[in-house]
Amino acid sequence: MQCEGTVVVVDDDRDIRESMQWLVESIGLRSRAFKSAEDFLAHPDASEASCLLLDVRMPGMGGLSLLRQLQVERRHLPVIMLTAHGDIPMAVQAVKSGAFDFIEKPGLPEQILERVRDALRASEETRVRDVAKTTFNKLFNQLTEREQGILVRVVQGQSNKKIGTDLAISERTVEKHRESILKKMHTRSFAQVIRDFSLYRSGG
Amino acid sequence: MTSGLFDWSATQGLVPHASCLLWNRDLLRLFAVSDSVIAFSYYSIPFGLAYFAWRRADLAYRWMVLLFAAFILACGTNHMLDVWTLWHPSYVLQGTVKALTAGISLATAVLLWRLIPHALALPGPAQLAALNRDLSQEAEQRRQAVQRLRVEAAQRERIQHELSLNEARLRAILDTAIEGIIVFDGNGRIETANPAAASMFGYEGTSLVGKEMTRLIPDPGFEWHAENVVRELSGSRRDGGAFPLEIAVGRFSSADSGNYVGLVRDITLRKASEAALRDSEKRLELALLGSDLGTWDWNLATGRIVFSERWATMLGYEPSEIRSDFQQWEKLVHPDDLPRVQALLDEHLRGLTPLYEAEHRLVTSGGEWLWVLSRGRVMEREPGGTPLRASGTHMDITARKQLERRLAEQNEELAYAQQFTTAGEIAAMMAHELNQPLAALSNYLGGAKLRFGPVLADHPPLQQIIDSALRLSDRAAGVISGIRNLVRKHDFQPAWVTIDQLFEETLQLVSPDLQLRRVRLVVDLPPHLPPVWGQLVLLKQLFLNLVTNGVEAMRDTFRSRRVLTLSARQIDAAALRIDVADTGSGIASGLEDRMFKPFVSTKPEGLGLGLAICRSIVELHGGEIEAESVHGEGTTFHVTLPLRREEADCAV
Repeated sequence: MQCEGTVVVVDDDRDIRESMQWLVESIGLRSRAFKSAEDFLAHPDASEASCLLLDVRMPGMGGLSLLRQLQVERRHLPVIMLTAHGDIPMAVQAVKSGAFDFIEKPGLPEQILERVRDALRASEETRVRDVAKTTFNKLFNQLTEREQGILVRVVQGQSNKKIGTDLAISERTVEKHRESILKKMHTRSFAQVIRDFSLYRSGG
Repeated sequence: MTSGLFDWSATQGLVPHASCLLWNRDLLRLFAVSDSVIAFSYYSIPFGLAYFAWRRADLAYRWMVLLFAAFILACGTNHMLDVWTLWHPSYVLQGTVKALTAGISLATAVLLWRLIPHALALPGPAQLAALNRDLSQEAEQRRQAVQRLRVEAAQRERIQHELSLNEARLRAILDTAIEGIIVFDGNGRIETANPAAASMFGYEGTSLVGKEMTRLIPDPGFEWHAENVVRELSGSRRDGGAFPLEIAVGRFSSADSGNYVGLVRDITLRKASEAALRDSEKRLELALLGSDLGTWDWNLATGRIVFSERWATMLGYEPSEIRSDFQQWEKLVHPDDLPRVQALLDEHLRGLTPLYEAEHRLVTSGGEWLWVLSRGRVMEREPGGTPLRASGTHMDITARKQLERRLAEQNEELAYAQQFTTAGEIAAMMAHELNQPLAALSNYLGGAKLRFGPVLADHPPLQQIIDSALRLSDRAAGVISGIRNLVRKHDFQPAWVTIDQLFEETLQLVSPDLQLRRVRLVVDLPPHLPPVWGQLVLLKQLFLNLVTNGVEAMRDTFRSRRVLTLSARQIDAAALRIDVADTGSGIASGLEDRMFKPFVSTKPEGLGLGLAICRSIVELHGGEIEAESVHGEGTTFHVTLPLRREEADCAV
């Protein structure tokens, strides 16, 4: 399966950085490498990363600290921890702290690539979802206050009649607002709107 | 009528006696002259007798002579009155005198007859002659006796001389004697007292003479009739001051009341020194009691050892239960210690060591072993060097021994942990250092296989070689993993560890070093810190390494500036941070990134594992370690340890 994205390697060992880049680029992925967590955070290009291969143990800011930092900044980036044999406890902790997975060095190349693909897939899903969410929210915000209120009631499953009674408007007017909502949300089906709303809105 | 009878001059019509003679002149003259002569003669005889009796005072029965004199005098008077009555008829008077004469006569006659047997017994002249002979013999004897007496007198004079010499000698002795000598009679009245006695009681010269002994020694216990008994009593000086004295009394006269001599000694100084000795003994006893020392005193000649009460009670025995001999002691000593202790004792007894000192065990009454420090010394030796008496102390050092054992155990445990972590760290380092290139190798091979798939398909041997290389790299990784597993056994045994305990036990290990290096230690430990979940021995090793590093880093710092600070803080609900800060030179800038790696060291002799081990231990506990260093000012290591058990547990 062909994947796209940029894999970012953060490791203090140059051989690991270069060989990892070599490996992931073998399957047509883009890659970037940083020799420390601090370098990664300081670099503006780092934001284009779709997957992070992160060494657990580095001088200065360790892998776990960077992981926590990313979570604080709400950057939902799949992180694969690169661990040495003895660092299993740290790896477990990393996963508990929200890492996507971990790879014990030296891992077999196929296994590494498999994890990377999984991560990219997850990343892609997240990206797509993020885009859809952003779009939905943008469209939702263009609705008038009255339209937003009606949409919320529709999502809750209220009938036009009840909405009209509650808002002290005629059923007919409710119909007109619903048509306007569909038009503004660039969709023909109210089912789609309801599904998107529960995906991107109710969860916050 | 009676008046008539006793009227001496009454005549009652009687006629003078001359009438009977019919006034015949011749007859009258004859009567008158005869009676006068008789009377005169009679009068003269008593005087002769009286004179004789007066002159012969030795006369036997003198009173008889006087009685004769009285009788004759009375007869003389009768004849005088016979003359008078010739012319004057005073017959009453004459009768009366006659009656008186009759009485005296009768008495004389009676007494004479009674006297005769006695008079007859008086010695006759022959007897007297014999007596005279005897007397002259006696006189001769007496003369000889006088002669002897003269000799004796000479002797006596000589003796007298000697006596006076003796007395002078005695006087000299009395005068110069240091002790008081008092001679007194049976009533306690002083007859003589020497100057020492006088001055002892505050008197001058002979002013003691005539005083009562009870005044000098008012002590009711003073009973001088009990001879030859030395008593300690209280004396009273002239000024009323009391002082302790010692007196011995002897009796030297046979008279009923007796004479006594008393030897008196002022024992104020002796009492004071005795009191001082008692005081010092008391002090010694108190000191021994205070230091909780038992004592022993060994007489080697008799083999008797006197053990103090504390010596016995230390072992749980009543003092009466301990026999005072060497065998008793031998029986109490632990059999494993006995040969060593005996050798030490023997060395000292032979004079090879200045002091006997041995730590050994003794069995208590409860059958347990008590560790004691026994120290002693020979106090007395014969001229040949043979020890006579030794004494010393016993101190209960069980607590110290236990502490030593605990420390030794801790050190052993720590040494084991150190060894274990060092080996683990070397294995971890090897694994890491080998795994990195292996990982890179495997990445390159994997990448090459993917990139050059079509090429490799055309060159099957190359394909095989790359596959073999990949397999070998995996195998190498497996070997490394095996070694690591072998070394790093999963014997991490965590428990709740309080920071107090951790600090205390760590500092116990490093404080001698801190003192030696003159490093001031500051411990900032807030109360009520929650415990951490970990293994004490590993955490101790962690902080031991960090503190040792800090001390080492301050080697070139001025002594006055050498401060090591240990502080602990709870940074949030889940973590606790312990900082170890020194005032050393700081970490060289190039080293900060690498110093937690194995075999990276600033010390020429350092293995470079200390901090690597620290990091391993911290990570084993699910924590983190960081260093913060300012060049020339010092370094602080921050160790963050999780407080929640599950966080630490999942690290295992």
